[in-house]
Amino acid sequence: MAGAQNRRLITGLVAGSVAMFGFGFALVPLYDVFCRITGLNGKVEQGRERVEFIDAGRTVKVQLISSGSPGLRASLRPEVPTFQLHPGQLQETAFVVHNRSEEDRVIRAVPSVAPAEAVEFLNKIQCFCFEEQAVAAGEERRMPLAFTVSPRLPEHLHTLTLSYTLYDITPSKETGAAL
Amino acid sequence: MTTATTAEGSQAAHHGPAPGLSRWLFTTNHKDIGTLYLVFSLSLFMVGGVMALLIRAELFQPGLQLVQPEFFNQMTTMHGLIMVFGAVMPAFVGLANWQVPLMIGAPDMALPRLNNWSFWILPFAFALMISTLFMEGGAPNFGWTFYAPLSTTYAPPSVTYFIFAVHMMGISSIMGAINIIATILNMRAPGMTLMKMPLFVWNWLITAFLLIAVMPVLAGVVTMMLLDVHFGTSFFNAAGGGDPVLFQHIFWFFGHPEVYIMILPAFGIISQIIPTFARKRVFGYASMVYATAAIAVLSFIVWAHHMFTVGLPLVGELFFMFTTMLIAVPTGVKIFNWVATLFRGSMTFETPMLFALAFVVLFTIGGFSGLMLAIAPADFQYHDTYFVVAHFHYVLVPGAIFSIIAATYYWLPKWTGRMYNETMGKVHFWLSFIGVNLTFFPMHFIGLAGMPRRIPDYALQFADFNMVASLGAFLFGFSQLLLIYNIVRCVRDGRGAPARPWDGAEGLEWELPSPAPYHTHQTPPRVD
Repeated sequence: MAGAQNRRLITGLVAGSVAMFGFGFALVPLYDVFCRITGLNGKVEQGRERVEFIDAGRTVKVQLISSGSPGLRASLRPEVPTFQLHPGQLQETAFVVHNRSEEDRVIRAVPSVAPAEAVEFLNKIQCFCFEEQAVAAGEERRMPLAFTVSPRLPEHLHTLTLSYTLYDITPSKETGAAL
Repeated sequence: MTTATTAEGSQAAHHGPAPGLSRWLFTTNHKDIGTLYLVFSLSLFMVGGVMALLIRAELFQPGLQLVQPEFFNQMTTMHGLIMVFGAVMPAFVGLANWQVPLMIGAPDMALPRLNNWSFWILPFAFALMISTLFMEGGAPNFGWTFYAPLSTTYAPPSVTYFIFAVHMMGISSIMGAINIIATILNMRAPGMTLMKMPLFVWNWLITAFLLIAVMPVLAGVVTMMLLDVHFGTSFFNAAGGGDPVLFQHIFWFFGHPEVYIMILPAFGIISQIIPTFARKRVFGYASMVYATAAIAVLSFIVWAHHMFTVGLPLVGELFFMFTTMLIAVPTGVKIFNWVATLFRGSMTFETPMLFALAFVVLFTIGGFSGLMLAIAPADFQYHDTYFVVAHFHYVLVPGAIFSIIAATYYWLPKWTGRMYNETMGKVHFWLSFIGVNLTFFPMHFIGLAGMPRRIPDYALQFADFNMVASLGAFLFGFSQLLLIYNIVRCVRDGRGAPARPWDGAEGLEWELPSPAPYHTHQTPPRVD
């Protein structure tokens, strides 16, 4: 009797442990979904909203910034660092990437918007974000960006920051992937 | 609680322990395994203690005197890992092994062979972990919280050994927890209903469920690290679309219940010792049980209070701030119950009681600094300073460690059949008490003044308090040698202990002779 009782209990407890191991991994997609819903982490979806009108009554400041990552031998800078624009107004600009090394590199820029509240109101119509970009040795290239700020932007937000972090993702050994 | 006398005589015919080393290697006896756990934990407590003293020696004066910053980082990391996973957790499992069957009237643990295995994994896990100190590139140096990308992209090569060591400890803890739950739920003596169980057993039951819920999550997070380091995934690598903050969420989803894993059994021990030496029943037994359960449930929804500064949304900061503060309610219930138990009790102050009373006072200080840290806007000032170090050492050293020492003195007569030296025990207590406070109290001040943790050098303004803390650490560290000496003398030539060495002690374990025979409760006692 005690044996059967033990077996049932232990089966349950082992199943519980395995389930919790799985839950640890389930947190990865759950976290992603959570971030998309809340705009946490500045993770942005592209071209979600059609812009209906331009709100000429107010002006919002949009700052463009970029940062590198360790081991990177390329730079990224915005052509124009700040814009004053009306919500709804389409703004076109570009970032310039410059490969300072003597080799061809593959880079990727990951965007983020601050404050997190503003994420859903900054719409990027055209963006180079998340895409792999092959940059030849010494090459300087213009990467266009077009965005609008939604007129639904809450009143208390005056300044939005769109930042890009540049990563070198050149494959070390694999063939074909680079260039 | 009264019990019918058990027929201990019948087991004279039964075999005793196997001779020699094989007794310890192949044993399935809960008392042997309990002893193994406790001796293992005491050894690693000394190893982790030596590392702590190296840290405090370097911090005795500003500037770099003894060790290089790289080695200092390895010491803080290994000190934390060894104390958490090697000293505190195995000590509690050892106490559970010895005491749970004795206290619930069971002949042994439910799964004796699994029990042997869960212990014997540990020495191998820690051999792996400690061997990294002698490897090229050094031991893990990323702190016991091993935040990515410090522990992935920038980790020393020995991180792989660390990952497998954590896997092994996790498996050991989970097996231990399964065993404890099966023992408590299925092997209680007739008449021992759940609400008649001693509070130590209740607290361990709840702790065991916490272990099963979160140790697999820890195994998951180190597995993700392994994949990131060796198999090109990007769980925590932003360049590949991952997120280092995700690491902190998963880690603390494990980490916060983990801190309760290290304190709930301590609450259980204190709830045994205080009624004994106050010679009163514990005040509010049912509320003690519910408070423990409430703490355990709340521990799952407060994890991000460790991460207030990573850029949580405001709503998140508020949520985690208020849920964290809510934990003070059930914890307060426990503290007030202990005080109410003491109230108008006929108290005597033997060594276990001294450690238990110090626990109540000093753990409360640690709890209050925890409440201060829970205030999200204030935490931006305290975060990663010595204030945090002061807080968690107040709950872990005079909290968890004092409770383990108290339990050792309390049950040592039952385990060995001999009394320890009471005077030496009291001297040990006072040296530890003074040492602990000298070490950790000044850390509150230097933390509030802005000294960051995990840094081998500091600004001149912190010099005096650091010197005091280092002196206290050496006092505390070396006074533990008294504990070891006292235990050794007790085992070798202490005077004989009666079955019930404490006259206020109640419970099934005190019905047994001292030392507890190799096989006990062969015929289950009846509990009315």
